[in-house]
Amino acid sequence: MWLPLIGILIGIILGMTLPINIPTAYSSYMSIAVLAALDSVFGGIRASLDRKFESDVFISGFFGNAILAAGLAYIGDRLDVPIYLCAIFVFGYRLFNNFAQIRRHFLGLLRKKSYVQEKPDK
Amino acid sequence: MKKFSDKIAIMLVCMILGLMLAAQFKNVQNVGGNVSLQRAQELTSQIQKLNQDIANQQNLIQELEDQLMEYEAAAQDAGKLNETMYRDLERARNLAGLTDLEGAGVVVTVNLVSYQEWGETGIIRNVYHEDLLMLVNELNAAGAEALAINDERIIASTEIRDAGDYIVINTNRYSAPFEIKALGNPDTLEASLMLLGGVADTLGEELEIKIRKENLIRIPKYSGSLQFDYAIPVQ
Repeated sequence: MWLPLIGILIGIILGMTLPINIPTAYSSYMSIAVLAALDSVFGGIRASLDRKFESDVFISGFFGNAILAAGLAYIGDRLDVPIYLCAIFVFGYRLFNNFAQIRRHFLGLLRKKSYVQEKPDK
Repeated sequence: MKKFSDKIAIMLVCMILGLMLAAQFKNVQNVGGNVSLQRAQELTSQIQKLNQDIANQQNLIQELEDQLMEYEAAAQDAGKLNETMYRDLERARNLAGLTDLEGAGVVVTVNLVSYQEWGETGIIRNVYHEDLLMLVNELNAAGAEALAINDERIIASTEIRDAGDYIVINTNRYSAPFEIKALGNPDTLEASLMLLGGVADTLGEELEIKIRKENLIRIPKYSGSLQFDYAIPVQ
């Protein structure tokens, strides 16, 4: 459960300390890729809570989505079609959806616990 | 239950996500986010204009250097000829608007009239380029010897034209208020504008026109460069 959080923390610290710089021109594509990656991670967390987690699906989704989103945004920019709007919409929507399911899962757990605690009193 | 390798995979992927987040964060901090398309276009046009200015200035420098060399050569030939030439040059420069001038004249300010209605502030109308052209025309007719709008010297090739919300004068953009300075006989200049049914009268209905007589006005020189690419003097 804590591994993803630790991973993100390590990543952020690494990113802040290592001299990684994205050229300004590609900043907008990077932002789309970050959004896609965030969506994949939330999706992975949800799947693992549902006990349906498959690491190959997760990893291919993570990289595939990020690259596809950034690539489509790039092509859209070349063709003057704002495809990045579509990517933001789709991934944003899925992000919230995934989060809602995670929330439900934990709320369900809490409810079950209080139910178990109340039972012996009766 | 999850396998151990799955956990490692999640952790690695999360690490990459953190890396991306940090990199993007740093990038946004550095650049200040996305530059909007409009801003980029604005900057592009500014760069183009500045590049053009630089090219013009370089041409002017070249031209002046050539002139200087010619004059130096002439000065070696005859001191007297040189002096007349210099005086002629000064005179020509004064007439062409390439020198700062000062003297008596009038200052005309053109401003918007704002009104309040139902608590909302509005303006009756904007200043159009035709208004400025009319004023300049009238001042010229009254014998103004030098004119400047917002310190842009009006010379033979000066344009006063609409560009959306701005008025372009000598390729620079201005918006209200406008200040027109004119050198000449202050009384004549003022009278020409204040005629009944004249320019100030007409424009004064919708704009705020103020005319001020002054004993000493300073008018700056034309700051661009002047050159003919096509016109050749007839011998």
